[in-house]
Parts: sequence; C-alpha cells; structure tokens
Amino acid sequence: MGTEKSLDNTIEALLFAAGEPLALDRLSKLANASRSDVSNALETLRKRLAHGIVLVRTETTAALAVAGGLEETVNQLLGDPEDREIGQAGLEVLSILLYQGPATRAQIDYIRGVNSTSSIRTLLMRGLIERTKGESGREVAYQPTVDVLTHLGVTDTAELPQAAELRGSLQAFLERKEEPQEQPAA
Amino acid sequence: MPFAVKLGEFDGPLDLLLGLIEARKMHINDVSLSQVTDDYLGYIQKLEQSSLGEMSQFILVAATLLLVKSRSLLPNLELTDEEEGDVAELERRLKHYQIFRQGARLLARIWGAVPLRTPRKAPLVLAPRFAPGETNLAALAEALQHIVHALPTVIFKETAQVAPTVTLEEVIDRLKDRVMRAAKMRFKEITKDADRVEVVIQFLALLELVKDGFVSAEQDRPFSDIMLQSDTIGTPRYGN
Repeated sequence: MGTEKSLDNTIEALLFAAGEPLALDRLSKLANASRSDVSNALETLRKRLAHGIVLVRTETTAALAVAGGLEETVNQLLGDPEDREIGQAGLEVLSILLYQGPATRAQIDYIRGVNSTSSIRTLLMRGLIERTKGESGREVAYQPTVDVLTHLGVTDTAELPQAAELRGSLQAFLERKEEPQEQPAA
Repeated sequence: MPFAVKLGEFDGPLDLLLGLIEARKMHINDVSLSQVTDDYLGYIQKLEQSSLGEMSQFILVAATLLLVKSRSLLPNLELTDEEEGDVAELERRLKHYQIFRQGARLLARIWGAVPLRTPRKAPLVLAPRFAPGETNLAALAEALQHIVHALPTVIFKETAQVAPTVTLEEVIDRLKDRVMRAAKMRFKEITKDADRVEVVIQFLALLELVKDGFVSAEQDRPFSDIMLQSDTIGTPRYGN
C-alpha cells in the first residue's frame, strides 16, 4: 500500500488532515517545496478534485471544502452554519478586498469616503478578512479569508459574480490615472 | 422635493452623492454633479448634530460641488488648477467607489446563499502506527511467554457441604407437639441425642413456648433437669 508521493497528493493529504485552511507558506514548509511549486500543485489538485470536495484558495491560504449543492445534506450532519449578517458597509469593504485585492484601512476609507474602522473590526472578528503585510511591508493591509469565499460559495475570487467584468473596469479605471497619494482627513 | 433623503440613510458623502446621482439614473459627470448639489446641501443641513469628523467630510465634498455648480451657472468663471483637480478627483473617487458598490450588490445576492462547508475538525488518520524496527523473532517469543504467564489461571474452590439446619420455628412446633401428647416430660429426655447447638435451639424453643403459655416449666435448682408440662388451657403461667 502506498500512494505516489507527488506534491499535489501531499498537499491534499495535509489539507485533509488539517481540517481547516492552511497558509501556503506552511504547506510549502511541510511539503518541502517552493511557493510557486505549491501554487502549481494546488491548481493540479483543484482540477483533480471534481466530486464531493473542492479546493478553496486565496492568494495566501488553501482549504478543502464540501462542493456546492451538497451543503443541505452536510448541514444535517454539522448543523446550519452561523448567521453572518454584516450590513452594507461590511459588504462594501469586502467588495474592495475581493474585487481589487488587499488594501490598507486608509485606502479603504478613501475609496468609501467614510471611516471603515468598525466594519473592518467586525469582519476581522468573524474571520472574514485577515491582516497581511501591505505593499511597503510596514503597513497593515487586509485581505479576504478562505472562510469568506466558502460563505459566498466560491472557490476562488475569479468565480465571484461579474469578476472579469468588474476587474476589467477597475483595471481600465486605474490605468487612466495613478492612485493619488493624498489621504482623507481622519 | 423629488429626491428627498432620510437622515442617517447614507454612509458618508460619497454614498450620499452616488445615491442622488443613481436615483436620477445619471452618469457621473459635471452635469449630474451640479444637478444634485442642492439636494446634497439640503441633506447636510439636517446633519448638524453629527460628529465634527463626519461633518467635515461632508463639507469638503460640498465645497467641491459648489465649484461645479458655480461653473455651470457662470460660464465665465475660471477655476484654478487646484480647483479643477478637486473636481476631477471627486469624479474619480465616485467612479471608483461605484464599481465596489456594484460589487457589494452582487455579493449581497450570493451572501450565504449556497455556502461551502469546510471540515469542522481534523478527520481521523486511518493508518495505525506500527514501529517494527527493534522487533525480531526472539523478542516476539519472549513477549508471547510473558503473555502466557500473565494469563489468568482457573482456580477450583473447595465446596463445603452444609448440614441442613433446624429452624427455631420447626423445633417449637415439634416440641409443642411432643409436650402436648406426653402431657409431662423432662428436658433431658428431649435432648438426649442432640448436640450442643440443638440443645440450645431446643431450650430457646422451650422459652418461646413458655412465653406463649403453651407449656409450663419447672426447675428445682440451677442446672438440674427441667420438667415440662402442657398447659392446654392456653393462659400463660410463667415459672410455676
């Protein structure tokens, strides 16, 4: 008895045994492989898993989850998932992080034209977003978690509704003029 | 007023502005901005009680809106580069924000509708752990011997035959019967063949019969024989 010790098999076993999202850095260390190899192996795994289990991943984290359409049966086993109402402000913050990518609190505030501190705190507390390093490496930025993807029923941000369309208009918009450095008054 | 707004309905100046523009189904440009300026100003006048920080954000945008409005009313009005920049920046922010508002609406539609379930806890690792590194045949044989020695042995317990015992009730009945028939008899005669335990039981039976008044007992002196006499009248007569 023995399975081929390929990287995608190894990662599959690690994610299964973990039973929770694992950071890609962690997978890279455990499987003794580079980040890009892990990333490629995850794509192999994603294509291979096409039955009751799907691979959910963000830029930095991956997890196994029950495929969409089976949740009713699985809910009988695990109980209904908790209610996660977050309101319009929370949805807008998520919209920025999901469609555009990681952003700092100041960037989010500037886009929305209003202070988003409490929305960010709520989203953090519910495990829907997490802290990450900003572009400069010094500031704190926020990014969506695997949890928020599973709550939305998608395995990747590319699966979000009108993802290509909205990202296209964002791209076109941002190319027209560089993001201003000016920040709003607190 | 066709575009009346409720207090507290809008989350910040951009939300308010976009709300006003989208309510008119207009694009974001100079024309739409100057058209909504009055409604915008009407809204922030009712916002007086709000915090100063929130207020300053609304007023900053109001100042830019007034520039747009002034320019549309006074074609000869020249705006400074900085002012032009403010107007362009406001339009830019509104367009950027509009994309995410659209995103938020799309997210709201699928929010929690068909969530994927992640495992609740780590599943069992199925393979049993077995480390055969230091095992050889001799070690296995020794281990087997330990097991054999440790096996519980069957112990046969000695069983004792217990002689049927006489109960006090039986003896009382028998004694009563004999005394009744013989009318008068000696205790030594009854206990002639009896062992020590039986003598004690016979004596207890005797006391019981005397108490119930079936029998009267007589003893001349300590340790001498006891004479038993049936008392058919049935009234208790202790001693004599």
